[in-house]
Amino acid sequence: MRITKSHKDNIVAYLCLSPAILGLLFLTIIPIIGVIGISFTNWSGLAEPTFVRFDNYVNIFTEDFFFYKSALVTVYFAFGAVITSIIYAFFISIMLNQRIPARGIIRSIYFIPYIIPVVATNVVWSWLYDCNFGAFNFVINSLGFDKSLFLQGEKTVVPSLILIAVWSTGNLIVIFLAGIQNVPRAYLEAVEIDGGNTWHKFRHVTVPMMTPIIFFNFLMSMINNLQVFVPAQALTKGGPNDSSLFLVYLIYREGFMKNNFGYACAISLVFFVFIAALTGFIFKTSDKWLFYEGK
Amino acid sequence: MSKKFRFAALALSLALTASVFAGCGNSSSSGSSSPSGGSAGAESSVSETSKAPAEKVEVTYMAWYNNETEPAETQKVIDKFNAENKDNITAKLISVAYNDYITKLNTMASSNTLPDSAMMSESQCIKWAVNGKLADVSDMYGTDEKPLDSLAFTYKGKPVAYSCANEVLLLYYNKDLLDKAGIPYPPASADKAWTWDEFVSAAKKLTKDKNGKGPGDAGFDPKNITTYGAQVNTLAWMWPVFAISNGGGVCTEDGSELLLGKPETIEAAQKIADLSLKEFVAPTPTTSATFPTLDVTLLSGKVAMATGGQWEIGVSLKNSLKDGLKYGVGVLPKFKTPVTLNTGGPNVIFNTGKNIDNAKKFLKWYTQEDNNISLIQSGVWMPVSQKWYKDETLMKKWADNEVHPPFDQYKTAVIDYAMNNAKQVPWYYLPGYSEIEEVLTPGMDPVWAGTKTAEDAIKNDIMPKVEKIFSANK
Repeated sequence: MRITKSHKDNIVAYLCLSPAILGLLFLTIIPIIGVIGISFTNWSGLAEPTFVRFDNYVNIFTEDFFFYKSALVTVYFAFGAVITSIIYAFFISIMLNQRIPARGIIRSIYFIPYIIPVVATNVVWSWLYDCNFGAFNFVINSLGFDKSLFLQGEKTVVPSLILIAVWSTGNLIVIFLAGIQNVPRAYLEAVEIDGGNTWHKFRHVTVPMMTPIIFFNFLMSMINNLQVFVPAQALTKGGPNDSSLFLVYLIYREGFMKNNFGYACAISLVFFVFIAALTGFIFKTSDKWLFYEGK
Repeated sequence: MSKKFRFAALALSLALTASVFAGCGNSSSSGSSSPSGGSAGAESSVSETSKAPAEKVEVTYMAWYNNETEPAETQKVIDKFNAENKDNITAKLISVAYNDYITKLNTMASSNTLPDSAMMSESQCIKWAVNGKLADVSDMYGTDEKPLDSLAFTYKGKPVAYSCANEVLLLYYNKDLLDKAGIPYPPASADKAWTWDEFVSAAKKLTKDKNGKGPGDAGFDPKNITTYGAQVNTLAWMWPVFAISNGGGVCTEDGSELLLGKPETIEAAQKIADLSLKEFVAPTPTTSATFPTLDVTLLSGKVAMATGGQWEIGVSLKNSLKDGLKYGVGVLPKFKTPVTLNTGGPNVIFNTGKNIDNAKKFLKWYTQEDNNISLIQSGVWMPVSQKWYKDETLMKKWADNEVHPPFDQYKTAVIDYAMNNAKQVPWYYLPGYSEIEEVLTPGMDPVWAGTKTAEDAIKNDIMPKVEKIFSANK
């Protein structure tokens, strides 16, 4: 066979693509297939694995002492964190879009929490939340209120963690800010000409024009927050009374602390299906409230 | 595309491809201060042969550390072993931070790169035996050098590990605070142990709010307590000591039956919770979690009497002696019988290595009191073999120094107590203990916080799960 020029081009193209393809293959596709395979075994790393069919999956729903509570607190955390941080980030980005002095500096300050290593910020927050000597309880106590348990109370732990999550949403602010700056002035001026006030501009122009960005932020941060792990690992170890035993932490505990790799893989897949279903659902309902200029 | 550019792109992508595969290779283990926890022996003996005439075998030993100075301390002992050059064995230390230790061990197990010997977490030890990873160590010691029976982790009647040190639970107190309140010191011998009620009434007299009032006084403010009379540790393995004293516990000493649901256990648990909830003499676990180390807690007068392990003498209490801490040690209060728990981190030998016999020789040397006497004299460890508890001169050799409390007190409150009144924590023999603990720890949180009674939590939440775990592991 004669190697034509187009053959040559193809070969070069594939060779150039090979790092990406191999990376995808070895670092994503094969591990995922591996996870699916392992989830049907009782592999512990210590003894030879045996094939246990759907036992792991059945056990998640019938035998596991931690799964339901874990799923519940994960969803509680994720919805709490996503809704609060969207509202917070939207509000802040509108503020930051005003003509205020030192706007650039203030904008960077809001972005800083997002770029500091999470574990470091978590440690600082744990000092603030400290029951006895923490800054929050010092303020609460000097105002005459009862001290809060924060991370050590069953009812307060998730809200406390949500506050940390909201504080560190600099990325949402940046994306919102970019969106707000893209709202066409013409529409806003049209409202003005028709005699509308600031609220009308916000309600009928800014918000509808922003819905695709709100949707994007909502979806991405929902997926991120459902996979919350660091606060459970760094601050609470899942406690008190499993109130912050988030699913990813449960998976980590099953897999890497208890050596139930097969079981941990099964939980991850169940969790994956849940996230996929939720994402699908959000996409489906999005038609009702999304506004695209092009449509 | 110019030829030159095309060539550069090709070279670059090939390099990237290579690096992808390099990433899959067996790189040296991360997280350890010394390189590679890989399979020992043969591969590393090559570099040693040049120095020694006879062929050396290397035994790897993995240990965790809690602070930066620990690996160096351990390394010193290992260096001593290597200097003695026993049977041409050299030991190599792999130090891993405590928080990553179990994860690391599990990962090494699944990739077949376990060290020859290692420290093991107490609660996980039997699980590794169940999984068939631990070597039988019943032939490691001769009869007179053997550690105490109470320090053997046993599975199916065979010892699979021995604790590297002995530890018991004790009651520490700040002498100044007790003198000021006119309260006699807690008894230092088991036969005179305080009853629970005596303990509570002493604690009441010691507890003071910010106005100097105690729990019996009018206007006492339980929300602003500055000195707690007592602090009882509620860790899942520690609090059952009082249940045992009351005739309950987690399980029977042969591991055949659960005692967790017994009324005696529930009563003891409730009384411990009531210390902070009803009597207002003790901090809740959430409050004590924020306390500094035991020596500072006692010295600063936050707490007058506190339960704690023997190790506190060397780990914490000795640090505040120079600041004027005057503390004493006594036996725990009792419900019915005077009881303490004994424990100690096990050293295991993995049966996956090629070096089992040499690892045994190393571990045996490593755990002999003469070789780690500095740790024992510093108050962190207690010896593991019987003669150190029976022979007065040997006892004085490790316990009669300025770090330990006065010898007369220490002898009855710790040495004799450890010999005569100590029961094993169930992790020495109960398969499934780690899973039980995983249920017990969060399950008791509401009891200590006062949102559930001990009866409700233990009977309705904990027992159904623990019974399942127990029967699954039988």
